[in-house]
Amino acid sequence: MTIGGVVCAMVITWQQREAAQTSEIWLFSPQHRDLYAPHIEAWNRKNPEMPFQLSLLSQQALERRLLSGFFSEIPVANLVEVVREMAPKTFAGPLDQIGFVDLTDRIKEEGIDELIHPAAFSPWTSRGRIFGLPHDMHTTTLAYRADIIEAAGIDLSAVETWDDLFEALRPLQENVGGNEREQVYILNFSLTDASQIEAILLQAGGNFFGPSGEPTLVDPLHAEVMCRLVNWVDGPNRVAIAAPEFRASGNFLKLEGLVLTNLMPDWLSSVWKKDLPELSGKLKLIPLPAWERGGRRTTVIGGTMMGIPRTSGDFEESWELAKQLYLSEEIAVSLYKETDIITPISEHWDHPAFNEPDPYFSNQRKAQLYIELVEDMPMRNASPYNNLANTCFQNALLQLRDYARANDAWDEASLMPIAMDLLKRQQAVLERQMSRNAFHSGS
Amino acid sequence: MSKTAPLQGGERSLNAYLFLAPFLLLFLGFTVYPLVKAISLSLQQTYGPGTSVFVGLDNFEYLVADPRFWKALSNTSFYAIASVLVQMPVALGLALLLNNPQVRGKAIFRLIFFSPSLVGIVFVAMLFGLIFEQRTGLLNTVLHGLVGFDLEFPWLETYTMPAMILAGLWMYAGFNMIYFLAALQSVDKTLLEAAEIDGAGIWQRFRHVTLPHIMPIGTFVIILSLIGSFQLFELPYILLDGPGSEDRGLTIVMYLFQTGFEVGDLGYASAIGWALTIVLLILGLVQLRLTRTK
Repeated sequence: MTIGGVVCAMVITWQQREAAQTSEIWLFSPQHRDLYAPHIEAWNRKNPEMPFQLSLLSQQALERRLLSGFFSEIPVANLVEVVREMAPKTFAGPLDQIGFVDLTDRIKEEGIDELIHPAAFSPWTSRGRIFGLPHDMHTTTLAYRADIIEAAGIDLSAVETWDDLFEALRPLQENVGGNEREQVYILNFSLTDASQIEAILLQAGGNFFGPSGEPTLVDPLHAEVMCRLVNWVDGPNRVAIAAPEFRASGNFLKLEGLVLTNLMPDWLSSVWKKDLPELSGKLKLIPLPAWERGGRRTTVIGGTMMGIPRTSGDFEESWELAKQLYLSEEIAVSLYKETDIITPISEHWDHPAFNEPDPYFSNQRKAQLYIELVEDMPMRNASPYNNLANTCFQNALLQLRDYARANDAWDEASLMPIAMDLLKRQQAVLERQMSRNAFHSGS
Repeated sequence: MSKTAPLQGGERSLNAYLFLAPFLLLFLGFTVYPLVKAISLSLQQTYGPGTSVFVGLDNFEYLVADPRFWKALSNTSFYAIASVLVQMPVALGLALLLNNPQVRGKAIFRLIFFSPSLVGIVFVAMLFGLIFEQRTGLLNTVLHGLVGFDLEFPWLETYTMPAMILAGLWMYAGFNMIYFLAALQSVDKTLLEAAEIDGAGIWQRFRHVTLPHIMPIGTFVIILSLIGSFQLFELPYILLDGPGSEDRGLTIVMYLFQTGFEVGDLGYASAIGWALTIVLLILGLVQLRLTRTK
């Protein structure tokens, strides 16, 4: 074992020396790699003294390597793409010890902040400092099975709130015969899906943390969201079923038309096109129904940034390449065509590609719909405790569901005090964990 | 023939140290230093090893009152004890079956029972993830077909620990069976024959001849399983994609991993590590005591 350890250490040291000669970009998405590859080749032809190479890693591997590198202060890649769930984990330490370079001043000096909606920066901003270039915005719409719903003579264009939606589609849920296998549900939603829960909470106007990074779980609005979500998935007028993305069970429900609507961030539509080609032409998109009349008609799910680790050899070279990859119109258009992801750079949105009809969504001009919703995007937090806060909120939700089941109490009046109490208990857990951190206060 | 002169005192001990040096260096570097470092880390709060503040015994104080740690400890203890209670009788039963001279094709059965432990725990976790899946999972589909069971029943959410114990049983029962089989094959047949001549039935022969003979191996397997179970990590990590809802699948090692390698608090992770060490030390002492008595 010890000999193995020595050999591993030698291999790692040797690899680091090798790595020092070529700059690396770590990515988790094969589509991004394919998109960037020709541009990296062109860059390398122009800059032979500092060539870059793309390394594709699984999300978990990338996270492990990056965090291990940051925590142990050993060099990692020169540029790294990281996702929303991971980035805040790097923000737990003191500001000057965060593994990514603080890009705030450069972003402002070069006017990049004027090109991008502030909400797109929010997940990458810790204590007022920006640590990554936003890759996307991921506004979210509601996709619905137009073939089934319109065939039943139901028009969703007038739908404004979630309650409107459920009322309009209730006949389709109730019209099914006794076979449980063929039970139709209106919405794909699960009380154990962290991203869906956060998306709905943000849409409703909630947030796990306040502007100064203080936990804000205990909030009557959050309790109200809990009461309604519990009813969505388990109440006597249940409307939702879990049809998880990337899973056979979820895809089966969608293909069979057993779930009629789905939260649809822009990136997810390309996943559906690949995994569920049978649904082409059967779907349509509408803005997300609001939590209440006049409320927000979208939310946000997911997100990616490109950061420059502090150990990156040459910051200027890395910064130039990062800007080329993220600010270029050519790449932005290809990105949309290949992945349905809409660039956050507002000046590119006039490109004809963003006005093309999409046959998968019944020839709707999909990009325009997502772009129109940008102004309504909620701000997110970048707290290193966001994942824990989400878990705490989820725990409270599940406990509320168990209470409702046990007492057969589903009305808001009965559930609200219980929800508030559960939130208090979960916030205490969160605060306790946060109070340990001597290096971080605020978001 | 020339004769080598015997080494004198100083020269002799120098040679001894030279021969021991490679081992000592590695032992100091990879065993003693990490242990000492783990003690010093457990007295600090860190953000990675580069940023730390001395907090004395705060980590241990926090640990004692940390509900997540106690949840992890109770989950892990439940898994460890229940696994042993389920796995041991099954492993012993399989071993008794394969030790029966009347059973044919023993080699094939041995391979079949043993093979799950060859595939790796990650594969097992993924496999059981598919079995327990809602709606399309094997279990719900079969139960629905047989008795109209709820297709949406969330096994992994509702029965997290039993699901993991079942996966552990599938993986390790065959492995433990091999130990018991080896022990059973070493039981003196003349003793069994003598007991039979004296009128002992099957149960009496098992209870008074076979069981005492295989007990040392049984104790060893139980302690080994308990220690292995307390280090449980990959199975829930893959099966539940983390600690699961309401931390129902959180284990001590998973909590240690989350704290040290996701939060970066190596200090608190070290404190958790020391708590686990104490649990394992107690189990080790129990084993020592039991085997010494025997």
